[in-house]
Amino acid sequence: MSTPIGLTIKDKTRNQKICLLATWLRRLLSTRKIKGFRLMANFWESIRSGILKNNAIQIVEPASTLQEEEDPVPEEFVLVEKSHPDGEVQQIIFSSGGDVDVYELQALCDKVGWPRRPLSKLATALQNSYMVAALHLVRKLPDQEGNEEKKLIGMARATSDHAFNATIWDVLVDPSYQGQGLGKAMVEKMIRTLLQRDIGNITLFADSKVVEFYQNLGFEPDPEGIKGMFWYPRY
Amino acid sequence: MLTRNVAAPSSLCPILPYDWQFQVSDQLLFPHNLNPNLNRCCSTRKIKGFRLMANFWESIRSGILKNNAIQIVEPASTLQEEEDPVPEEFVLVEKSHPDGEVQQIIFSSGGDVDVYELQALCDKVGWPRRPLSKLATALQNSYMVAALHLVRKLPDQEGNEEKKLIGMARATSDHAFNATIWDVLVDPSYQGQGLGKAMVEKMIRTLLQRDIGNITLFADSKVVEFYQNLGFEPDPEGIKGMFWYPRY
Repeated sequence: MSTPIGLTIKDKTRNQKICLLATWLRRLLSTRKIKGFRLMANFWESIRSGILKNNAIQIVEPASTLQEEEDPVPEEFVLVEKSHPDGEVQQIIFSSGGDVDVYELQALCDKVGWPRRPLSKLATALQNSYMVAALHLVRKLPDQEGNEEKKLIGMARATSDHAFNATIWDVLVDPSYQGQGLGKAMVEKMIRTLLQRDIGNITLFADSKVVEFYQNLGFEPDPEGIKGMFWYPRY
Repeated sequence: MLTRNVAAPSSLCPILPYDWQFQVSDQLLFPHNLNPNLNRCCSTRKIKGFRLMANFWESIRSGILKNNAIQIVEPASTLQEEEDPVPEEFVLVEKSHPDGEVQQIIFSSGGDVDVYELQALCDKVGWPRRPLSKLATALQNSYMVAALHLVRKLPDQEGNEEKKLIGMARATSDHAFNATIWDVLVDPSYQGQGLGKAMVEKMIRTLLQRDIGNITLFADSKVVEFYQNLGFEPDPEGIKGMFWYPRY
């Protein structure tokens, strides 16, 4: 900030205060977050209208997405609820608390065709991820009191330094449940949670086939020529 | 029949024929009966990586050894290093001056970085300011924090030494599969000597020894070549690094 000639010390201090205020306002109205949240609001509306195919399906999330910018993303909530004519209720539940059974995860990774990894390392990876998001399908049968089936149908996790950077790994949705916007919802929730924890640099490495999927979520490949690099990748 | 030649008697890891990998995969499904050291050496990628690192280390050595006063104090055999864990702290470069002053550049991966010194170093390389508390949090929650310190031992003062942070690099990881290297920096006054390369090379070796095989990073366009020379490949098989709404 350059000071024009002829200003008194009092003027300079006032200018500094104005500059500080401007910086604070600029940060508050951070274009990126507003742009991001506006786009997320539109995105969430499109998910909603996509899923609401019949009256039996309810989206149970709060209606106001601007309010969500204030309220923290709950650690667990119902994403989709479907009531069947026979009384069975199916819910798809999002959770970011990391309650993923490693055996179920291994089965899910098999289902999507990923190469096998040692169970112990899978467990270690889950324990040492900053965030583990999961989608569970819960089926509540009409006649059985309290009995319900719970099945893992999606997962995503992120490593982070808890301050600046996060990298999302291992995003997967059961093929039987793909195409419904569940993967998008899961990643979108993760992003929102990370932003609320003030982790502003959210990154990932995308296979060429899913680059567009992540672009639609707001990710940009090679911004300003920054390249993602791997040490001697094995093919 | 599998053949192997044992090289240096003191080394635990034999020199393997180049096609070792293929012999194993043809004849064995589960190499339980293999010496675990051999099993670790069987990975073609690791052998290739370590051969290249050995050559790279030789080139660093010859680059730094400009006069007799500078000694590289690392063990001579790089093949032995494949077995021995990278020590948490060791002298990378030692320089003795005619007046008796000894300068050492010490590598450490134990994370002993003073956050105020780090802030000053980030300023020196021209990086935008970040809150101190977040810097401290980031250091505490990084899987590995590597640092380079310049230590000056003056000839007349007994036991007194100056210690200055001149480089740092850190990595986040899930402790199992993936690691991402962030914030690699070397004091501009000490750049161009191969210190940054040595630091990153040590980090890679430590990560590999902990069986973390997927080592990644995001490189500004100007330093992509620097990391290529260390064995990193951009966009392998079309995999793209992506950022959520990056701010410019």
